[in-house]
Amino acid sequence: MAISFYKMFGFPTGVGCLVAKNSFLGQLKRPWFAGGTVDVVQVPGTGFTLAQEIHEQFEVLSVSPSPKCGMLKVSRV
Amino acid sequence: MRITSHSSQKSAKCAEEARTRVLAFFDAPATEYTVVFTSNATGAMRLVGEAFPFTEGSTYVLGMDSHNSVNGIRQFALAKGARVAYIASTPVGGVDETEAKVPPVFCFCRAETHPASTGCPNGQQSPTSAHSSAMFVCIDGVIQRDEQQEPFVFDSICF
Repeated sequence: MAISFYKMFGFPTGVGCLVAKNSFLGQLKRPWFAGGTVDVVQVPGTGFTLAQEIHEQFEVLSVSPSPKCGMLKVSRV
Repeated sequence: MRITSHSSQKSAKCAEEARTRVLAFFDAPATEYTVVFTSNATGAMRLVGEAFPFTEGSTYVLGMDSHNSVNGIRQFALAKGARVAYIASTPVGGVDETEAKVPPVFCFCRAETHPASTGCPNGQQSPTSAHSSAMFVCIDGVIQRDEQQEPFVFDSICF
């Protein structure tokens, strides 16, 4: 399920998520890697190791922490 | 865990708590589901579209009233030789199940109100049963909860 939080909860904007089964994510093949999606990159060479946590393997573009903290504030009310 | 600074640790803790709360909201067990934070739903769908193993035997199925971000995923499917099949929408949105008798591999459902009113493009109401027939379902979640409706059963509609 793909969601934008503001469409689901009304707030905050600028953050969303993919909620997916681990077994499904395991069948996907990322076309590239960047930043924290990998642990070790061989240079020069072609080898790399994926990050340990599944969500780390997919969170390519950093999301500002402030919207997530904003969501927590809302959910705690 | 590479995080070292105090601010990073606080941010990571905040993110983990948000992950836990999202899973709880959707009644998705943490042992089975993962939350991947993105900028928005478009970013989430792109993650799936660009990494889904489309083949020449695949069919990407979507409704005619899909969001443009859902339409755009077809570019990934077409680039890998997959077929793209549109399902007619009803006058009030959602898909017409009688138009959806195709053997899909991957589809997007749009859930604006309740999955029972939207249905699933292979004629099955439950994406869980769809999953068992080698079909993956991604919900473009724009859900407006209504007190008069039955609670949305989220744990049966994810991949």
